[in-house]
Amino acid sequence: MAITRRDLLLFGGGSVAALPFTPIPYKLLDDVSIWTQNFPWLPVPVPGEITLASTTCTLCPAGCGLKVRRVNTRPIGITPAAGHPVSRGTLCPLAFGAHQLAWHPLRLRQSRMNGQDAEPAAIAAKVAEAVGAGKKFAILDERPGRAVSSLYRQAAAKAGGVYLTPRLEEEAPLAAIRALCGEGAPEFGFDLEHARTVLSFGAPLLDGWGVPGAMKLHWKGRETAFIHAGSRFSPTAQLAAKWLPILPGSEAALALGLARVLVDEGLAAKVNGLDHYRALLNQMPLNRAAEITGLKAETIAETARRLQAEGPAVAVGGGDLAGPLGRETEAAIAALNALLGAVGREGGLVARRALAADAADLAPATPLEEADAGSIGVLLVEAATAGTARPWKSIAAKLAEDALVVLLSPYNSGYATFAQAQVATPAFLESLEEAPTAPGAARHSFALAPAVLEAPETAVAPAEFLALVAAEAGWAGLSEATTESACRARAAAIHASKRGSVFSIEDASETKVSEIGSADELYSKLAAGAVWVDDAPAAAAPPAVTLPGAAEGERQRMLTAATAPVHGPGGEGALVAIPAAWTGNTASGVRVPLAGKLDQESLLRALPGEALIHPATAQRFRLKQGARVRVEAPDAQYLATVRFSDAVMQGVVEISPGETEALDLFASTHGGASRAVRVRLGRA
Amino acid sequence: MMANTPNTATAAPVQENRKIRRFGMVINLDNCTGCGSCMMTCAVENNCAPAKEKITDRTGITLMRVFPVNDRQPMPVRQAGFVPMPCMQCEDPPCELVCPQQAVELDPLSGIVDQMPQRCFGCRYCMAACPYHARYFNWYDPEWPKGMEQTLNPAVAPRMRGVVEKCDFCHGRLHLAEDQAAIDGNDDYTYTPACVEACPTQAIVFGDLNDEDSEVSQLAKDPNSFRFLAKLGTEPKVYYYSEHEWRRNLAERDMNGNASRNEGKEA
Repeated sequence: MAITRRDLLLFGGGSVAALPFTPIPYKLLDDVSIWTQNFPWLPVPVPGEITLASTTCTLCPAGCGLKVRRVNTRPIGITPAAGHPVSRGTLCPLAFGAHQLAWHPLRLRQSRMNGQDAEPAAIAAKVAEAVGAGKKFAILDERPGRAVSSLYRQAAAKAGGVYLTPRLEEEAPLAAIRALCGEGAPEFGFDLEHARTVLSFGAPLLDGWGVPGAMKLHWKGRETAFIHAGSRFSPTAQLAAKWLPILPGSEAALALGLARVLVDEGLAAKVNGLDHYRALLNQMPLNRAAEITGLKAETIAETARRLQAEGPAVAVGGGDLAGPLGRETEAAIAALNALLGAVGREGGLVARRALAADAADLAPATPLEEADAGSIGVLLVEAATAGTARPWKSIAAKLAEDALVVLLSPYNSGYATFAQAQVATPAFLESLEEAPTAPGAARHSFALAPAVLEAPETAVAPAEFLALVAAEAGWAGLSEATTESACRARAAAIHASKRGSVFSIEDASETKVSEIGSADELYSKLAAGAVWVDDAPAAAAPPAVTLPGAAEGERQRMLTAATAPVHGPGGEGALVAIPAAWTGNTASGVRVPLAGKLDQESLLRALPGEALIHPATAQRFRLKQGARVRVEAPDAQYLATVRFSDAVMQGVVEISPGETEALDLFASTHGGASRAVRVRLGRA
Repeated sequence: MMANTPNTATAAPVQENRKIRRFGMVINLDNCTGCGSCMMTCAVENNCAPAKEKITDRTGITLMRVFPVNDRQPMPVRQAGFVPMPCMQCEDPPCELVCPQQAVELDPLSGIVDQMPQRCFGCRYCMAACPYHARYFNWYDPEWPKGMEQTLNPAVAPRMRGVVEKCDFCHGRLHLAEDQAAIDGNDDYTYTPACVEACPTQAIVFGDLNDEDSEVSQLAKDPNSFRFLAKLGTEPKVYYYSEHEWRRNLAERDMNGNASRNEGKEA
């Protein structure tokens, strides 16, 4: 049979027409797809046996127990430690991605001075030289209460300097209560477990406060009713049994209004100083409190009655991360607790069992706010990775003109911009770390976090750096100090007290300290990732509390805080700015790399650098979603991106801070931070 | 809200003597605090890369995603909450139906809707077909900062640009459990997905819906349990639970209340 040209064309055409009905193109596509899965730039995870290593989270002060999933020596994930007495088998979202922090893009692998690589010894020599030249030495310890902190305090004492601590929001109301109890008052902690009603004044109880996961677990039990007074429709406000939407900064007015109802209706507990406090309350009639807070007078009255009727009740101050309450507001909240009879009562504020007394050679802990302005010549800062947020301005206010600032951090972030020298320290999981008592806790605890990863050779632990400085400066007894020696000393003190018990994460077993043979044995257990928890507070007679405001000046300051709650000049076009921070987006450390899942890649949280604003307010200022605006406070400005939210109060702008520049908006002249400031919005 | 009658049938014939499971979830919305632990641990478990700067809420990869929701009442009387949304693991998955590459398959042994990125060529028909928006397209190659690739989970292969992915109830963990069961010679195994393990309030209950005695099976039959868009008949195996009517009413409500950051931007 002769094959004609027509046959060939027919065959060709037919083949083309039939091709889509054969597997050939699909197989080709399939093969191409499979091939593209193996592009060489895609990493291939190396398999191996999965093992678990027990340790403790040291990103924030909570100290949650965790297990690191490892393949060989590589960490591939983090899981909560079941039954852990502090974290109760829970973790916050950040912890789940924290094993990646060692490879953070902002990781500092080499110490630096004046923009050049430098040996830690050279930086230490510079510090010693400055101290020797008579400059005032200070250490800002963003994670106070650790065994290593005692080395810092020793160093500060030897140098004639100061040991500075930042404000921890959970501890601020406890300090206010202690101040009302006078000399010799015990340390207090919140006993929220036994409280029936908890009133939070802006404190993010269900969003990062204390031990975050454990608080959520407690909330889930529904045995405690959470009432939240705050200006933001925050996660805590959303989850609370009742939200009191108060105007920004009006916490003090609310506390005084509630106190007024308790006193007027004879619901208050018997406390000292009621007469002079009544003089203050007389200047805060319920209607005035209602006007300042934006609540109805009946709502304040009902809340006060509920706190008394549904006791034990306790009020929690402290405020939000990056939005702390002022001292006078804390005093008003402390007074409210006293009037509720919450001080020294189960389900209120209980006295923690005392730890061994400090050695005589330790410098006292001085709150950063109380340091003299312009006094510090040499400042060492050990930065926390998460859980702290303060404007750099609040630190800068304390520095002398030519001050040397040395940052001890694994990251080139946070305060790094302002430091002349940066000492590269080990990152999370890379060295022996410790977690002291969780802030706000009713019981003391102490956990060690053994290293799970190998630190870079260039990294120097803060205690080692301090030893270098001590050797240069000739501070006896400190040049040999290490983190381990400090932790061993703490373990010995715990062993000597014979109190509490030790929980081992590995086998979820508990051993009483009194049954542990030696301090070394206790240390070995702790160094394997165990946690010591003190015994429950002993039943004791409630301490005598004297209400604040004995002096006319003090009453006046409290009244001013209540009646003029927003800082900055007002006038046409002014808005009230409040920070909308959370542990994951605001810190002097870095964000966990995957934290973007919670804000950038979803709408669960505000992105750092966003300004949340009510659409009606935006319309007033002719702003559109996504517009860039300049937020201007009297002494600072910040570029932010507008995002609409009808959950924001009108006339208010919620700033989601990411960089320290955003926090500077809220920096106040006394070196702290304000909860609410007046700002103006301008086009960027 | 439609009646909750778990379907015990499976989609395809399976090997003899193998126990047929229908893994499912009940998520208690009343206990969800919106903390995002499930999202973070999901990303770690499934080797999702940290977001590049240009990625938004529209282009990110969140195999488990928590949506903030509310009852649409004015402030301040508004009630709000959170809805964690993994793949609903439909018994009759529309995504499987439309995939021209057979990259989606309902596993008859586990009831899990598997996604095979190796077969996917990125047409995104499945994304259009999924009524839950539970599928995500890899717009970019996954990239980790130098050295961070060491932290990748060896049980899960990273996916490349141009393919679709979704939650598969942590198939890496399922495979490990299956392997162990094979070693032990015991077919009576179960496992825990990462999000279930991470939830601080244990709001997510996971298990075999075919097991009448399991907690998940019992909860799924509770009158307060419901499924999203049940009217579509895709028979999702992810149930939700709430004692609050407004939350149960979310089941048939569209999600337009949550605007994207990209909407309404200045030109």
